[in-house]
Amino acid sequence: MIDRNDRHHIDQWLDGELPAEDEATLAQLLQDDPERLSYLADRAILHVHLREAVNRLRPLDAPSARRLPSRRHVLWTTAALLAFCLVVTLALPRAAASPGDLVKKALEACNLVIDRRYSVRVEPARAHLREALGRPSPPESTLWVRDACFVQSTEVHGRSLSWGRDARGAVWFSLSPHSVAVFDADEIPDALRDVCDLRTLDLPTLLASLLDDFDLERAGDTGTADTILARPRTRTSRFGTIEIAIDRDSLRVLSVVLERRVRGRTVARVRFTLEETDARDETTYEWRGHVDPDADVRDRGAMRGARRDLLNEFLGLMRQYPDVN
Amino acid sequence: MASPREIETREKLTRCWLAAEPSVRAFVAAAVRSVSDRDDVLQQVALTVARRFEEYDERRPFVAWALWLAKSRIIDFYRAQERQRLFLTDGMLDRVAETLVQKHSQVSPRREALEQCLDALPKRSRSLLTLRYHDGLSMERIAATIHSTSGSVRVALFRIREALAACVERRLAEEAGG
Repeated sequence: MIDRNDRHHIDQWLDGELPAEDEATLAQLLQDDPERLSYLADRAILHVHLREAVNRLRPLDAPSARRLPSRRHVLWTTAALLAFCLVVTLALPRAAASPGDLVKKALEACNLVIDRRYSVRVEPARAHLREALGRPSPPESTLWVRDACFVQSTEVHGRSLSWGRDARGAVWFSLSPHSVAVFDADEIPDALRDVCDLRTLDLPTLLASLLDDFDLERAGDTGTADTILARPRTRTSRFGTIEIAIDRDSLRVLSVVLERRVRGRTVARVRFTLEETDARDETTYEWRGHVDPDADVRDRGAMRGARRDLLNEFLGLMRQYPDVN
Repeated sequence: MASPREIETREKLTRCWLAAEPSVRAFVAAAVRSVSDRDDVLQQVALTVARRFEEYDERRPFVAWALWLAKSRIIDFYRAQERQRLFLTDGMLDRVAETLVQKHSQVSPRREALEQCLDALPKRSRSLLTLRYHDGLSMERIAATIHSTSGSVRVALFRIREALAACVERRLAEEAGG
C-alpha cells in the first residue's frame, strides 16, 4: 500500500501544483518503488478521464468560473515569499523547525494515522452569562475521526446521542439504540451539515488550511510538545485563532483549540484533546455499529416525513446550546 | 486532390490517434510539471505521430508506438529547458509507458465506470471537479470561488479522486465477476 502522503504528492504533481522543493523527493520515491510509479500512471489516466468526463457533464454543474483571471504565479510567488519570511522571522535561536515546517511534518505524520479518538469540549463564548442564567454548558463528547469520516457520541439530558459520517459521505444520527436516520451524501440538509462541520475535526484539511491561509507563530514549548498559534489572514474565516499542540517526538497533534466564528463573531471555543490512535474497522463510522440490530432505519426509502421528525428532534437537542449552533 | 490511399491513411491516423491520445496525455502529465508545457509537448507528439505515421508497424499496438515517440519529445522538452535531470529517468519513463500500454485495453470500460461513479457523487464534489477540470482553475482560484481555503480544496479533491478510483475498481471487478 502506498503511503497516503506519497499519493497526495502524486496528485499534486499531476495537478501541476507540487511545490518545487518537493519535486526531487517525489522523483526519488518514484524511482525507489515500481508500485508508486504504477500508481502515478493509474492516477494520470484518472486525471485525463476525469477531464473528459467532467467536460461532458459540464452543463449539469456549477456556473463557469473561466473568466476569472488566473493569478497562479502571483499567488505562488507570494506564498513562497511568505514561507521564506516565516522561516526567517520566526526561527528560534535553537535549531528548531519553523512553525510552518512543524505543521507540515504534523500533517505528514497525521496522514499515517488511520483513526483518532478525541474528547471534545465546547466552551461557549458567553459561558459566564450562560452560567448566570442557569443554563448548562455543552457536555463533553467523544469523537472518532478518519479523514472526513467521524462518529461522535455524547449524552444530553440523560439521552445517548450518536451521529457520524461514513466512508460514502452519508450522515446518520440516532437518539436511541432503537432508531436511526440516514441521509445519503447528496441529500444532507444544510442544518445537519452545519452541525457536523461545527463539531468534528477533519485534521488533514485543517492542517493543510493552516499552512495556506494562516499566519503561524510558536506560542509555547513544554519540553516535549510545541504549541503553534495560528491566526487567519482573512476576517471571513470560519475560524478565529487556532492553537495546536504537537508532540515533538511523534509529531502527533495532541490538542487543538479552535475559535469558531459565525458572521465574524466568535461563538465558541472547541477543544479537541487526543485520547488515543488506532486502526479501527470501517464499520466504526457506520450507523449499524451504534444501534440495535432490529432498529427502525429511516433512510431515503423511509415513509415521507419520517426522517424529518427525527431530524427536528436531533437539531432541537443540539440547539439546547444555541451559542454554538 | 488526395488519393484514396492518402484519405484512408489519414482516417486511420485519426482513428488511432483519438484512441491513443488519453494514454499519451497521461504519459506527458506524469513526466512534465507545468500544465501549459504539457499541452505544448502533447502537440509536438501529435505532430511527430502525423509526420512519421508511414513508419508505424501495424503489428505493434499503436499506443506503444505513440508513447515511444512521446518519450523522445519529453526528453527533447527537458533538453530545451536546459534542465539537469528528467523528473522521470529513461527507465522510469519506459515503466510508466508499459503500465499505460497494459491498461490501454481497459480504457473504454474505465471511462464508462467513471461516468457512473461521477453520477453518484454529491453535487458539491461534482462542482469542485468542474472548477478544476472544466474551468482549469488552480486550487487558489477554486478556494476563492467557493469561499474556502486552498488547503481544504486540495484535500477535498484528493479524497474525491480516491473515492472515484475505488468506485471505478469496484465496478470493473463487479463486471469481471459477471
